[in-house]
Amino acid sequence: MTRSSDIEGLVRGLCAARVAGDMDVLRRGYADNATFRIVGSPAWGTLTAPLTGHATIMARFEAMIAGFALSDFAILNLFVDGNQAAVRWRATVRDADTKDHSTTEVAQFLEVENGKVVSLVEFLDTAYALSMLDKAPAASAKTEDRS
Amino acid sequence: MDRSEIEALVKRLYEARVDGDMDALSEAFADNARYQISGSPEVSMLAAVAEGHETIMSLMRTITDTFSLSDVEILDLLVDGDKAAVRWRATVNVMTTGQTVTTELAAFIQIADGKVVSFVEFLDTALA
Repeated sequence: MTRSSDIEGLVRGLCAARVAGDMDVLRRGYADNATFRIVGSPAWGTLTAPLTGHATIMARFEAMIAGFALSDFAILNLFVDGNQAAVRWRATVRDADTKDHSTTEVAQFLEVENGKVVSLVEFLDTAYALSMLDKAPAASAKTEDRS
Repeated sequence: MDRSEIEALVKRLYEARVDGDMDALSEAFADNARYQISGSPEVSMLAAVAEGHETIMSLMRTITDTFSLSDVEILDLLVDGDKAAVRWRATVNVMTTGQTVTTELAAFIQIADGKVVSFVEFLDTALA
């Protein structure tokens, strides 16, 4: 059982590591058998595909950090209840290639065991994420409509 | 409010949404409440912000007239003082098109004097 204050510290540390792109902290924060999922339709492909295992999750984090920089980061809510935490944060996300950017909110639900995250479920603006990834038929159609 | 009262309020709120019970929803929100569906309005018609009881009820009527919910299950309910975070799953039926999708949603809720003063919802914005 991890203490509530330890879980809060872990979550804050992982948020800071994601902003800073600190993979060492992220690696230490996740259990070998961790799972990570961005909530959304399976139709959105790799964006919402569930990931299992430390190496797979770290590879995704590396790709996210390389592709999208975060700035103006702020934690808006952080709750710890038992071995679970819920955090809502806001940041400006900037595409490393196109430099497109937007301020967005993200919600994360985490489960912690023995001081490490074993489950991360993340809610983000899938429509915006897919438009940045240029993979959403709906987003593409809207882009065409605007042109 | 203690933890059990907040849990009960949150569950009543979700039951009211499933039932489309506008009286119960109206009772749940404070006059100065704020309701937000997080997302970018430029790319999703689901993103919305409503401030004030009347505006929120208008949005709730639109939502309940457009979407029906079934098989609702609360997956996580975290309570911290007068705040709660909820993760839930539901089957959503778009009444105008007949389209059905099972999806997850989340909400960060702040309560004061027994009523919701802030409700920030997260959902799969790419669905519409």
